[in-house]
Amino acid sequence: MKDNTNQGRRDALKTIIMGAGGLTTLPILGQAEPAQASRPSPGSAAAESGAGWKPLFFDEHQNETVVTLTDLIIPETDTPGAKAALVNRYLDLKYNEEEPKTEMALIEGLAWLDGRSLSQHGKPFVRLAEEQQIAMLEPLADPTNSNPDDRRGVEFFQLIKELTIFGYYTSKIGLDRELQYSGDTYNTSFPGACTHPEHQS
Amino acid sequence: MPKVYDAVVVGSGAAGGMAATELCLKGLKVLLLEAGPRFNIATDFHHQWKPYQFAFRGAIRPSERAMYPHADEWNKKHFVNELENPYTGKPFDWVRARAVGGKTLHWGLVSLRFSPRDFKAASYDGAGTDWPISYDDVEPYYSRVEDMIGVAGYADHLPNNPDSHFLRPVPYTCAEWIFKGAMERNIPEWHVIHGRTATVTQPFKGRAPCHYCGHCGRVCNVAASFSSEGVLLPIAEKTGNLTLRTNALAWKVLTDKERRAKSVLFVDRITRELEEAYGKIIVLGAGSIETTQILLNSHNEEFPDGMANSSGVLGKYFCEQIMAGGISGLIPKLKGNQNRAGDARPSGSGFYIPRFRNLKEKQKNFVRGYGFEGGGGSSEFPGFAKKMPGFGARFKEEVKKYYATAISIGSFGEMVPRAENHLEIDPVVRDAWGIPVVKFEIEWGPNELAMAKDANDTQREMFRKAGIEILEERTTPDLPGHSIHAAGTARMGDDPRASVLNKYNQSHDVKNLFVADAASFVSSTEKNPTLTILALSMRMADYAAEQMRRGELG
Repeated sequence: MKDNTNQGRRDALKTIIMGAGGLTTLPILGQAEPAQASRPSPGSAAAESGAGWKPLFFDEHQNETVVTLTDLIIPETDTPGAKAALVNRYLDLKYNEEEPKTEMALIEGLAWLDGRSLSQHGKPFVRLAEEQQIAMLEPLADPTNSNPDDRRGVEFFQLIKELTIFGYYTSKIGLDRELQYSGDTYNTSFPGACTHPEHQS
Repeated sequence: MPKVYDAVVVGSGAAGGMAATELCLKGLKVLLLEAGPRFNIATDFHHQWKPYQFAFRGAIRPSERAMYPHADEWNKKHFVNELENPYTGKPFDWVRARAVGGKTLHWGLVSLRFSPRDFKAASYDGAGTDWPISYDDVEPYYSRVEDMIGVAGYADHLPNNPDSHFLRPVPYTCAEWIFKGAMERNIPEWHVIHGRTATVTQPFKGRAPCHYCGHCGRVCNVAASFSSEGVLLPIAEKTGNLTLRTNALAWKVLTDKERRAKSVLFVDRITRELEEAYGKIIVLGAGSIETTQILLNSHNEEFPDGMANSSGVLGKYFCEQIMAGGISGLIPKLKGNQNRAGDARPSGSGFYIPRFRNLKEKQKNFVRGYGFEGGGGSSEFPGFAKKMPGFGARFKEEVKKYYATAISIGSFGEMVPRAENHLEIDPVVRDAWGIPVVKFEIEWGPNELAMAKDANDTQREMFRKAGIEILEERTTPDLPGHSIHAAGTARMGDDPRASVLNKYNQSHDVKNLFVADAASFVSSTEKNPTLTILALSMRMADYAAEQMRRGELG
């Protein structure tokens, strides 16, 4: 199930060197990073966008399920969603080196979801129509749901929702385009200062 | 003949960095020993990188969590490797740096003067012990430190929170103004004031002002926020009196037959060779716990319970602040607010709610009090999103609409020192260099826990009165150590039978041995300690230099 992390890292470095759409920018001061001070980040945005990407941890079906799930949680609206933001690739990288208990919680959750889908519709989750997928998730997204048959699904949904939130809003699409966060740059004054007199009375 | 420096200082963080600098300014030749390497703060940290420039989005990758449990990918280089530096005993979150500058490379920047009452708190309520010094003894040093490093804030004229010499404060966000207004209308004693931060908000003594990137903790690359490396050591180096020796793990203080400290025995972190650094005076500024560890490990025939420990109190009377929990929520009135950089400002510059408990009134079930630190507005990561209901397009829109409405606060409560809360040296376990490690015997007691409950009830009441939609409450206190404000384990006092140091941070037993850090503290207060560490270290250095000038210390 688990690939050799070094192999994954080697592939990622190859992709960066081939210049597959790298998005890394140098620090603003323009100083070169001392060789020992920075390890090239494996699987950075550059590597994630490489055309030859293959999951290290998920199998093909699990990966497809994760893509589908994350994109249902944060879909495309006026900005791209979790699928375009490659949240599945970030989760694959993370889970490739998680502790076994953490890995199992995700894998078993994905299997549980397929189990429900098979028993209700005779097909795995990724083969359902979108309305069916949403209908299946809605009760699981309800934290007040106390149906014992749903318990594992409710726990799993909160897990995948939190993972999606982290993977999406720390991606370039999530942070720069959707949230349009404007920190992390150089300002002459505090850009978050309140400019509304009605708040200051 | 080995070189004998005027002073050997151990530790290059706030305490040791200030001691070395002040001693250099007084004309002493100083050898500064630092356990870690030296980094170039301008270039060695990925300060401006966005989360997505890291494979694991800035979080420590799972396979390295055991090594760097307290760091992030931006700053981990200067944190201690926990696998090589274990500790034992009761649960304790010990956060340590391993670099020139120590924890000042990433610290929270909150800078608060202790008050006149703080130094004599035991006289008010009978708990703990009074300091042998008063606010008036320390005030000149607070002023000099602030004039040296720059602290931004607002002069609020609150008796229990003396004002510093302030630079311009950082303005509030919309969320903070609304919260402040609600508190003032409902309970005026719950003052909401500007955070007080060791950051220069205007050009200051050759330092560029803060450029509001919001990531001080990722190591400021322009020294706008205070670090020992960025602000103090350049001053020391300019005197020509400083020699810096990195990768030096201090193990013991060695004394001679005349009960004088003569050297620091250290292990070179890289070569693993044992070396000795000789000084006419020895100053320990390795941080409360590590300084105490060195003293305990320095036990010898004359001091079987630890160097300079004829009192028996070395390692005892540990204190810090209890972090009782925290609360976060959303301000409905701000829904749709467009601000997109609410956290792009110095650490410690949101708002602060000073202690109001047990000042005018008397609580039934605890003494002392707590303060709150907090802030509101949009931030790099929308942590509140995981508590927003639902999923899909509507969920995504709601996250965006509420982005700038988030607000949170957390408390820091005074832990009254008790002798039973103490540090020992583990009889068996050693670190990767063979140095015996610390064993923690520290637990929260009834006063802290009763105070914590009050803090958690109060934070809920504050948020309700402000009409904030509460999203998450944490009401279980964090583990001991979590405040990263350890103090008290080599406390000062007038009585050599009940203290390790005198009121000048000088050992009662070994006249040329000094402690520069918060191990000297008699109490922790509810206030963050660093400004007081800097002031007392400067005061100690002035005293030591004067004693040397008079020939009192050889």
